[in-house]
Amino acid sequence: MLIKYTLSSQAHEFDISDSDDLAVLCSETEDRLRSDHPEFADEEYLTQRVADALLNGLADDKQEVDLGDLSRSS
Amino acid sequence: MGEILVASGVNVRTSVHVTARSYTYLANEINRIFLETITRSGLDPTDLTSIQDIIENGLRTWLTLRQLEVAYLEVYEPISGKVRTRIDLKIEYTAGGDERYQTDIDRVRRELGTGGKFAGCQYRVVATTTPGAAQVKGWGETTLGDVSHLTRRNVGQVIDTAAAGAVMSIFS
Repeated sequence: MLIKYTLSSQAHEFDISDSDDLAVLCSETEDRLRSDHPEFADEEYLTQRVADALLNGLADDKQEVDLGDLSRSS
Repeated sequence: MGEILVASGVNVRTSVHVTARSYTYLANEINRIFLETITRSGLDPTDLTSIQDIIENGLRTWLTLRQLEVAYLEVYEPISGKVRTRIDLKIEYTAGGDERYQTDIDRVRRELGTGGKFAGCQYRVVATTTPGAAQVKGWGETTLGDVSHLTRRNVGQVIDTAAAGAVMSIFS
């Protein structure tokens, strides 16, 4: 599954597993974001933002999920 | 073998999409039942609707992570804090089955109809989550009010989806 997002006006994307477990998908996405961007270390609501985007995207039958602009403070 | 692999992939994707739709439906219907309770109790729904987004964000996040255990609507006297009634919606996570979205709203209304009116009372939405649950903006830690003076009535399952359901009980 492809995850897309924007950070500091730059588009990013990465793949996560095709797990059928939403909690796993959420955890994989958050872990990758925190690994790639140390600035998320203090973002206590990142889980909420990822979970909300995954739920919205997957409920619409999408095969990729756009997390939107993560530069914005939650 | 190729057909089996393709079928498997389709099943996996369908499953996660159905789960997402199920959790979305469940969060919406929990709010619907709480709103129904508030209006049938003679309470002003403004306090609920003004923070609808915050409540939904919490329910959706914790459902996605399977961290939501119970959602409560607690109705209490404003000065004493004494709980007058409480609606519990216990989440039961399931796996599989046909895609379905069912709420037994008639049953909910029948049960609420015997709960009496609570005009002048206040209310709040509370959730219990698994340890270490995700932080959600607008939510903070609290303690449920004492209900030892109330009687618990089990209503049974009132929301049913392919991925999770909600079992209702009423303290009154």
